[in-house]
Amino acid sequence: MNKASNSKRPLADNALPQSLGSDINLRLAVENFLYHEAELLDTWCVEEWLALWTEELSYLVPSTDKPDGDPRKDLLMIQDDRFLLHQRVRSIVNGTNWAENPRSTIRRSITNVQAKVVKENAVEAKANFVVYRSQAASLNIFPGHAEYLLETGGPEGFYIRMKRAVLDLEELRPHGRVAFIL
Amino acid sequence: MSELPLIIDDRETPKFWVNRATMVEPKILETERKSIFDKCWLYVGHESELENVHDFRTRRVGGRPVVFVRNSVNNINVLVNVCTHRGMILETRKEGNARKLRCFYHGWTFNTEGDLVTLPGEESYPKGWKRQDRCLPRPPHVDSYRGFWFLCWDKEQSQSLKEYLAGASDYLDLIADQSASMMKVSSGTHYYSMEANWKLLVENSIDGYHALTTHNRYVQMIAASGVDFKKRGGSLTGQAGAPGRGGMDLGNGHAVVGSPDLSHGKIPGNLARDFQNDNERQEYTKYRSELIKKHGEKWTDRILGGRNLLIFPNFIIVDGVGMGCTLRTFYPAKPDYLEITGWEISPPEISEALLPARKTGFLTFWGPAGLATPDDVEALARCQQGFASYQIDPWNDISRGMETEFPGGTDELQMRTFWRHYNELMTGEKAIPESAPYKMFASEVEAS
Ligand code: FES
Ligand SMILES: [Fe+2]
Repeated sequence: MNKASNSKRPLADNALPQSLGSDINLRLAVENFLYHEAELLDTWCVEEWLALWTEELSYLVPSTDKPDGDPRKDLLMIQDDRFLLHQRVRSIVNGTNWAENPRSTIRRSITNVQAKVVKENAVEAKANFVVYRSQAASLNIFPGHAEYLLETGGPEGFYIRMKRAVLDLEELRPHGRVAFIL
Repeated sequence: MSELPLIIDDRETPKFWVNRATMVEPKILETERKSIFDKCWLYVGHESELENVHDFRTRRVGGRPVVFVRNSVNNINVLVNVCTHRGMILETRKEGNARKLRCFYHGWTFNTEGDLVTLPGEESYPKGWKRQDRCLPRPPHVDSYRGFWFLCWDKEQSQSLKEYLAGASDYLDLIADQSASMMKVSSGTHYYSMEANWKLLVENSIDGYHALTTHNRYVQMIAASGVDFKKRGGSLTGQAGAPGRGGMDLGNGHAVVGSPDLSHGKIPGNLARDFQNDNERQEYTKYRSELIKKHGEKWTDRILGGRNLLIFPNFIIVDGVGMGCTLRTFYPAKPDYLEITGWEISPPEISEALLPARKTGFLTFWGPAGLATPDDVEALARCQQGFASYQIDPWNDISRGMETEFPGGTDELQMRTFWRHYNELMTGEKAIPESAPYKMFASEVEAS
C-alpha cells in the first residue's frame, strides 16, 4: 500500500493494478447509472426514464415459474418493444393505469452490481433489486434481479438496450399485479 | 347469513339485481364450496401440458391438491397429491417428470397410476393390511373434451362431462379446431391473485361493458398502433347482438360473449393491433385458407372471431385468436381474496411471422403486468372495498339488455346466465332462462 491510498484524496486510477482498476471503474460507472435509473423510477419520472433507452429496445419480465423464459415461444409477463414501452409510460403519465392512480409509494434498493464489456460500446450488467411498494395499508415486496445490455454514450454514460427484470417470487401472490415499472 | 334473496330476477320491470352479501359473507363461501365447487365439473389442465410419459403438473382444483400426470402407458391420470399414509403433500414442484411420487416423511412411494409400490418395513404391518388398499385416491370423475381435462368431486354427479358442457362444447371445438393437431399451452404461467370475490372475476371476464373505460389505456394503445377503433367489429365495441353473436346462454350456467369474424379474414382478431407487415397478412391468409379447407368458411369465420367463454363455475377462456388466447381458472381462498392461474394456448403450427403479434397481443392485454389485466385487478379490489357498505345498498345491478332479443357484447345476459345457475345451485330455486337456447342460434348461424 502506498501513501496515496491512505489519504483522503479519491482513489486515482493508477492506485490499483491496471486490470482491477478498470473493472472497478466500469462497475462504478454502471452503478451510478443504475442508481440514477432507480431514482427516476422511484420518483415516477418515467418519461425521463424512457430517455435512457436506445431506439431499438426490449423490456422483459418473465413469468414467475419460468425465469429463463424465451420471448419467442414462452409466456412472459412483459415483453415490450419501443412502441409498447412508450404506451406503458404514457398510461402512467396520463393516469389511465388505474392501479397506479393514485400512485403508490415505491422504493428500490440496487445491490450486487456486476458489469463486463462484451464488445466495443456494449456492456452486460447484472444487479439485484428489492422494490417496496406501498399503497393505503398494504405493503408488497418485489425482490428480484435484473440483467441489462447497455450501450455506452449519452449524458448518463449509458443507454439501455435490453432490461430483463426477473422476480424472485414463485407466484405473484398476494401482489396480484405489476403496474409500476420494475 | 343475509335474509335477502341472493338475486332478484324480475321479468316484469324488468331488472336483475345481485345481493352483495354473496361477495362478502363467509357463510356464503362455505355453501359455495359445498354446493358449487364440490358439485360441478372443474377444469384441471390441458393435455399438451403433459408432453411425455411421466410428465406431471401439480395444482389445486376446487381447493384440493392434485397431480395431473401422464402415466407409463401414455394415459392421463388425475390423482390426489396427498400421501395415503399420514397425509403429507407428495409432490411439491409445480411441474416435472417423475416415474415415482415419493413421500419423504416415511418413504411411501407411489407410481404414476397411484399404486403404492414400495414402503420401508412393509413386513411390520398386520396380515390383513394390504398395500392395494392404500393407493392414491382419485376424484370420482375425470374426463376430457378436445384436450381439456376436467374433474368432478361429486360421486353423485350424473351428468357426463359432455352433457355438463352443453353449448360450451361448441366453443371448445372452436378453440381446438384452430390447430390441425393439438393446441399447445406455452411454458410460463401467470400465478396471480385479486383482493376480490371470485364471482367478480367471473363477471369481469365476460363483461364487454367495462372495456372502453377500465381498459382505456389499452384502447389508447390500439389507437396509437394505427387501428381505427370505431371501424372494428367485435364483441367488445358495443355492437348489437344477432343470432350467434353478442352474449349467449350456453346452458348449465355457461355463457359466452363473442362474434364470428365479421371481417372475413381482414383483421387478426377482434381487438388486436393490425398486421404489422405484408408477410404477417399473407401468413394469416394462408392459415385461414387451410382452416377453410378443413372446416368450411362459416365455421372458419366462427373460429377466427373472438370469444370470452365462461365454463361454469370458474373456467374462463378469453380468445382473441390473432392476439392470442388465454385460459384462466381461479378459486377463492377467502370471500375477498382469490388465486388465479392463467395460461397461454396456441396452435403449434402457427407461422413464425404471426408469433410476435400473438405474443405481444396476448401480453399487452392479459396477465398481471399487461396493459389491461392489472386494471381489472384494481377495479375488482375497489368493488370489494365498496362492498363494506353492502348492508346499506345490497344490490349490484346487471340488467343491461334485458329487453333486447339478442343482447350485444356490452349487455349483461352472459352474467345473468351465470347468476341464475348460481342461485339454482345455492338455493334449489329453478333457473328460468331469459333467452332461447344457444343451439337454435348455432343452427341459424350454420344455415345462414
Ligand atoms: S406421511 Fe407419507 S410416508 Fe408417512
Ligand atoms: Fe377487463
